[in-house]
Amino acid sequence: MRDDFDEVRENSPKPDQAAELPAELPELKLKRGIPFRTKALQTLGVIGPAFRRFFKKDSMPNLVLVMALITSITAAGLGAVYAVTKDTIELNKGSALNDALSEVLPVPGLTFTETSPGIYQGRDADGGLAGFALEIAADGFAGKGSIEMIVGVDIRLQITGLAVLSQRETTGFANDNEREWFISQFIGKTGPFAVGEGVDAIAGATVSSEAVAQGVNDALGMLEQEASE
Amino acid sequence: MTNTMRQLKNGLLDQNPTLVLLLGMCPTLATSTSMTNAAGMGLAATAVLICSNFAVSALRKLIPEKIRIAAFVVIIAGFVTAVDYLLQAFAHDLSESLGMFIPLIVVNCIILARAEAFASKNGVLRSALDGLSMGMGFTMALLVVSAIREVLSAGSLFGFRVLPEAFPPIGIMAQPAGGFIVLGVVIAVMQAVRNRGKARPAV
Repeated sequence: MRDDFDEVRENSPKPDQAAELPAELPELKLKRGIPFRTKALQTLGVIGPAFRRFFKKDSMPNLVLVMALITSITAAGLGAVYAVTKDTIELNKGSALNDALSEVLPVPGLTFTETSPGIYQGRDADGGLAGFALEIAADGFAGKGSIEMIVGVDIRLQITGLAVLSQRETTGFANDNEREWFISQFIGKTGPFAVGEGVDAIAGATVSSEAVAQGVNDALGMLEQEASE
Repeated sequence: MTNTMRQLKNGLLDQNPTLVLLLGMCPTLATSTSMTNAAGMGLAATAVLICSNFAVSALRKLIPEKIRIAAFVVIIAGFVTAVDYLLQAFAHDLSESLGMFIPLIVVNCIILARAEAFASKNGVLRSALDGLSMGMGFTMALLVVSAIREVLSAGSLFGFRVLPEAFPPIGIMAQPAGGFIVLGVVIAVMQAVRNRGKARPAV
């Protein structure tokens, strides 16, 4: 592979070439002195190979150096992108949560405060408690905690709404109508819920349906535990 | 035909990464359930391809042979993570619906394959063009497969209804099996188009 040092080598006078030169030429060169460029290249020609041996393209120090260089440049670039996008990402996540909160507890003018991890109290403008929103991860078809959802509960412990924040279940089983119908089975009732007893599963998505029902029960349990403390 | 045109045609037809080279099958099957997902995935991968081809080509003389794969992966992972952050910030819905598949662009073999086979041997501009051409080929394949799957499974294109409600949705089309079937048919059509006019082998 050709590199910068090749130029140095080519430009440096080679011993056997010098011997072949006509007799007049060395005299001419002596008279003028060695040009600076040649001198500099000759010096480089001594340091170069030594440097080159140490930092040969495939030598261990060079491998480490190149890898460290590439990794740190990448990390610096990523840091910059992260710094630029961080606030917007947080904002997006926050507003997605807020949308879900007002969806599951559909009383206008509520403000939500997180009183303990995953439990949000919804209070109206006068400070009266209107209900709770509970964040819970249910164990669905795709594994433990694969369905992250929010359950809305009013003060009589009746379910007011259900919203899925994120899920990794198999796509293509339930359409929007079926989902709406499934969720409507919980609204206005209080737990515990069980598929087959009061709640019908979505056809072809029994495991996910059971997971959601169990998730709602867990959310109610979470609230009871909070209340007893 | 100029070199540039030939390169573009290469990515879209002759060496289409998805339909001819059969690279990147996993993201193709997973994200072609809807056209919106397919377009998002295709464009994200194209952006990563152009950037990584550019960077790999610019650094090709610096990177020693022995660690080239590791270096390529770091470069690609850097761009993918940047794209992931940008999508989360400015296209939140899309990033939610593509989910895990954006980070998984890191291991999309189209990108590593182009870094290894093209960008590490060619100039910076030519490599960026190669990234664009291959990315467009991938996007086009995704769009074709997803159009068929979305119409048959949900009766819509880009989320807009195109078939009457009475049309019964074919559920399997939204699932991986449907993806394989549609992909197979599209690849067959692609081969037929490419082999048109060529003599058939004697039976």
